[in-house]
Amino acid sequence: MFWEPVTFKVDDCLHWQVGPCRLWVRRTEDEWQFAIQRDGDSGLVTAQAQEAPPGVAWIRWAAITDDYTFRVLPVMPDRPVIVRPDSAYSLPPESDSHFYVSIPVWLRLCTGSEGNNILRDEPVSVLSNSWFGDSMEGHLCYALKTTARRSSRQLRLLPHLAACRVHIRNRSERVLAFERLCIHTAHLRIYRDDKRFWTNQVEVTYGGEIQPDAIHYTGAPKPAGDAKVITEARQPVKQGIFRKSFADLRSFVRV
Amino acid sequence: MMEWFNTLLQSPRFYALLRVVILLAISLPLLHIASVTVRRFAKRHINEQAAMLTGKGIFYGGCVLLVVVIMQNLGFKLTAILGAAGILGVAIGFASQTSLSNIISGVFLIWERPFEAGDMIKVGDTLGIVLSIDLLSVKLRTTDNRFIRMPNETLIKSQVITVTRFPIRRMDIDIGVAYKENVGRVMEILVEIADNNPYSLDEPRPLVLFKDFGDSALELLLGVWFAKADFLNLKNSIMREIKERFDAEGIEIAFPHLTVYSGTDTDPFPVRVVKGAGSETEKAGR
Repeated sequence: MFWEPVTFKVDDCLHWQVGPCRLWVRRTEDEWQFAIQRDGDSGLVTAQAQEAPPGVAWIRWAAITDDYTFRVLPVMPDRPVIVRPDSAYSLPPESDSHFYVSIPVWLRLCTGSEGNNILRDEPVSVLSNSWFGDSMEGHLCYALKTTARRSSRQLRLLPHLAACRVHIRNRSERVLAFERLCIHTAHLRIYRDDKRFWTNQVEVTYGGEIQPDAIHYTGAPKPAGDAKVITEARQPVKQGIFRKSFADLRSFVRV
Repeated sequence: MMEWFNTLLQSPRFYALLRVVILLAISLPLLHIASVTVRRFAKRHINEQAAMLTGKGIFYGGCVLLVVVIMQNLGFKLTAILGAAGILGVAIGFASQTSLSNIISGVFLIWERPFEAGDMIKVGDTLGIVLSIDLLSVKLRTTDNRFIRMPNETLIKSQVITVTRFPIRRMDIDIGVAYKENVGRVMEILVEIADNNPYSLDEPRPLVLFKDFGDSALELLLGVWFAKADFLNLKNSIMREIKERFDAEGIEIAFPHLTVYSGTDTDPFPVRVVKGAGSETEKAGR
């Protein structure tokens, strides 16, 4: 469990690997130092004594004198993510459907046993930028490399991926045809069952082309069983939010 | 001394002066407070530029009114002063046509809002970030950190490009490849390069256009969308990636060249330059 706090001694250098991201953390008398490398191989290593390879760039932070506890917490990306279904998907009026999406987590590097002192957030894998909206208005997102799947069993089981169940309701009078779905990850918690990370279930209610979609965040979805919360959302919401979530290629006709 | 003081107290001018002093002591702080309050309110609800102008307008407008009231208190005849001010105004108006034109242009710029403080604009060959829009001029900071004062009239008359108006932009890169290359493969590679670059937006999709049969190259255009803050990161990375990938794929980036034919059905002349005594040039031709 790589997110458990680890106590350092002076001049300890420990190594973590979460998915393709490798992290070395060193504690000197008055500094925290860490170095990050990303490569193609996915793996999981937790707080193993290991020196960093020569030539890595170290990032240095002044340390609080008696704070020798370090935590690596999984958090959701700092921007919304955009996912596509395997192929264009249509939902008839008054019908429901659901998808499972794999979202690569970020690593929050923090000190203190509760992880209160946040040093930095680092993506496990660098995702491409994407845009949700038209060319004059919208928001910057990340594009997921994987597609939305109909079953959680179709998702890859990797240590840096969190499964997100998206439940879609079409409450409009027209067919909902979408090619891209925007998931606002800032409002998602991270849970853990015995196999993988999960996020809250996202429930999106589509009410029509003009009005924004009603989005609600419930707890961990059923397949997660009694998964425990590992990390709170970046921006917790008590009630739902209203935002556009679906897009088809017509958004860019004006581009 | 007492006699002088008694005379002063009985003088109506003393009371007029006293009134003026009290008026100034109360009005100036009040004007300042009103100006700052309105400025803060406008900054929250409109924009920084309009807030600054509204604040200044309230302060200076109030000062003009204050001067009129003080003049009246001191016994000046306003009709004569205003008449003289009118004549003076006409004279000043003739003498400062350019300044007035700039002021009016400044009002139009603020009203029309083609750009705001903090935007990057291009006027002619000048590219810079807008520091402030003032009544007479717009102040710019160029990308190489020079300060430019551009008269408002120039901006009203010229074509102004607001580079950072919209949150995303498209970078158009002209690429020429040799005639021997497989255009379809080159176009696929360009899309792959854009898709693999983290600064290139995956949506809107990158645009690849086969533009023309050029004099020395097949001319293509790669249009890559990016968030406006990523201009330098994208420019540096994608240009390098195109060159590296083309080198790896053996795709020749064309450059202007001229082929000389000896006749309609002949191959071009092979020419070999041989260094030797007297820089003798040997030509081997058929």
